[in-house]
Amino acid sequence: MNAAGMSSLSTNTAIGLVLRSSAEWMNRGASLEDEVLGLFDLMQTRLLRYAVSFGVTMQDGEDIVQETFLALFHHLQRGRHGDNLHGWLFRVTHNLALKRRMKILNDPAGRDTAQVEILDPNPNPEECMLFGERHARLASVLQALSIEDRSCLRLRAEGLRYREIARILGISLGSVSASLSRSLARLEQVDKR
Amino acid sequence: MPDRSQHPSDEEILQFIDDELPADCIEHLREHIAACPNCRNRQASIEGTLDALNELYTSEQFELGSTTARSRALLQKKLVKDRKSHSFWRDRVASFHLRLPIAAAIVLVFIGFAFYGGRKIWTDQPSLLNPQEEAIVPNHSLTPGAVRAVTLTDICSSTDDDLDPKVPSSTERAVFQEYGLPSNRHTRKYQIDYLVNPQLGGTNDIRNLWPEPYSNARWNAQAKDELERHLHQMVCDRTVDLAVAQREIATDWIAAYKKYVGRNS
Repeated sequence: MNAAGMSSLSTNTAIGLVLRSSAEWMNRGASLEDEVLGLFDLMQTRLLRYAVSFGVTMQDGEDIVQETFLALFHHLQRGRHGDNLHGWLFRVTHNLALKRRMKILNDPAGRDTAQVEILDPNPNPEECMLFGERHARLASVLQALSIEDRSCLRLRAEGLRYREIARILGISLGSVSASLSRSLARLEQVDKR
Repeated sequence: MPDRSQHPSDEEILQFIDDELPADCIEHLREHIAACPNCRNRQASIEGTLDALNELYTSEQFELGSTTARSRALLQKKLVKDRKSHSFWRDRVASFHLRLPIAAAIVLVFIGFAFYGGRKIWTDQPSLLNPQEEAIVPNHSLTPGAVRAVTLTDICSSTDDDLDPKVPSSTERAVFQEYGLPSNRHTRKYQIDYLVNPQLGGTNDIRNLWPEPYSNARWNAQAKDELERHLHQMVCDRTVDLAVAQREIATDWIAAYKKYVGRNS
């Protein structure tokens, strides 16, 4: 299993532990907030990274993550624990990020703040300093990919199975596999230069 | 199932790395890779790129880390507020036995909104298209164009000649919504068009999609398709540079039509 898969396994196990222990706490009358905050500690950074990958600002990304966990709170309040909260959280973040992006683009004042990158995928000098030349090269390829291809790569790196990615993005299993393979070929091509 | 006598594709190797291959294929592929130096190299190369990508993603974490504590405190406040509000209304509703009338009122309001409010919103919402030109050209704030990294070889060796591959219906709806067009009314009048077509490296990103009318007498979807085929041919004949073709079709496709096709038509 790859590193991402290992990471996913450990995260899923951790989520399971949080849920199990929270269930015990709830039996003892402890609050649901602890359960949600426990998951927030585990998943916040990963969901924030995913949200900002849609080209929304960091502030918008933080709002999206907050909304996601409020939605989770309501989800759990209704007694719907579900088997796969990991995938559920990414799915809700994905939908909220798409909505937020559309809202920004529909708002003339907000368009300037949206990170709409186009036809010039070259990294800026600051990015080169931060990530090094190799990372900057890969980042430039990522920027030029479609949102769907980028989401596939990122969700895979977050340790989600192809089936979960397909469900989040609303595409077929074969499309996920083809998208990943296509994107990696492009990344590899640039990486070797 | 992969043929044991043939090398697996990169997609199959990736599925193997990700443990996503069907169970009955894994053993065949493992045996093949173990015996085939070329495929071992391919696997190592793909894994190398995946590692670099993971490093890139992980490096982003350092920039995001500072927001954690503040966001947690904010979420905690919201949860407490939400729970108190929830408890307050639940207690009121339970004590006054108002559940049924409230539910009925909500349903009535919802139905009223669906019949009148929803229609009004769509009617009042200004279209983002240029009314004079009826979306002959896209709104560049919404559709600046988006391309993937491709080489001339990729483009000219591809046999895919579908100029406007079908996009997921959710994306289609999003494009109509961005342009202020209710999708249920306009799907037959417009084609969701790729501003830069895939044969010139355009992607199916929403930033490369716009609703193009069929109705216009001259500057319609068919005319743009003609330009796209023509430009592709010119790029592959090396009479026009790929980047120039991408830029010109993204900037003003009608001007590009007049420049490249118009003089011939």
